[in-house]
Amino acid sequence: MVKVATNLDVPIKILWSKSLTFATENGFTMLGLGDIVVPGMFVALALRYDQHRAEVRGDAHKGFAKPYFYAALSAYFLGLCTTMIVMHTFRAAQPALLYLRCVRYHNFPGHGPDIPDSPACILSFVITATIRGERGEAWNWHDGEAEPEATAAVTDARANSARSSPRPPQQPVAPSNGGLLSRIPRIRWETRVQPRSTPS
Amino acid sequence: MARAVAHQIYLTIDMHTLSLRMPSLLLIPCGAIPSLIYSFGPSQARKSALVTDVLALSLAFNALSLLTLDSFKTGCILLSGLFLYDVWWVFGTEVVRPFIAPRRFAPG
Repeated sequence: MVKVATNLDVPIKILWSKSLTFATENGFTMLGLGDIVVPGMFVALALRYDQHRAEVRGDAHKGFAKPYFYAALSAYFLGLCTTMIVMHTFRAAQPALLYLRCVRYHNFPGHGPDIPDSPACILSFVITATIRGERGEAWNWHDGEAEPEATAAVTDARANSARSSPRPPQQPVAPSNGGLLSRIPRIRWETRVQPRSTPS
Repeated sequence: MARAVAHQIYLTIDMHTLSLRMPSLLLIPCGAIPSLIYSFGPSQARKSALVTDVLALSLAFNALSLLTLDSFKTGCILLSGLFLYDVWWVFGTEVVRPFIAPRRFAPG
């Protein structure tokens, strides 16, 4: 058995008290950030795919159908519920370990076990795509937003820099007399008033 | 009808420009408070679930808005890696103790 020796003292987990009054006697339930961010990116990708499909159909303005997004989100939620239920079940069978394990979780720089999340998200995607009969297309879909920028960078660098927003005011040309004064980074504070863009 | 209502503040250092809205600029000290409490507060503050939660949720929110996947293939590869990592974490380390315990017998 590997013993994890390092103690990371950074907030990389979400804690929720196990006692109803938020006291610390029962320890905490933990959920690690990795188990939030990685499935979260997957769920966000599912939403982008739904938007892409709506754009292809032509009705991407508002209220487009989001089957992949709801499937991925429900799968993630059910995976978390499964984790909690399994942890509770195991603990009910081992009463002697109840408080020991809680205390151990509390002081440890790790996270609660979250095994069902990843297969749940993957399966949600596979099942949804299979049911809708577009598994091949969904599997080979590539988020197209990166591609136009890449080709533009290859062909025309200036156009690429012009695409970045918001457009800053004109950069002052540093006086090139070659001395040290010209190397001091210039800090400009400028306030501009802009009309608010169309309501989003 | 479209009046100027949004103020943009541009901070430029050499070639780098940071643009902020005025409310965001004024709220920067407010947003630094949880980090300061966590870094320089007593160790009791670190064990407090509230500060940890605030910082962890902020990190998660920013990570999700900055990181994007490009295809479901990449997503599935990442999720498989996370799955293997979780399995190793539960069964290969001593964080989660094995689910066997001596029975406690009630006295008498």
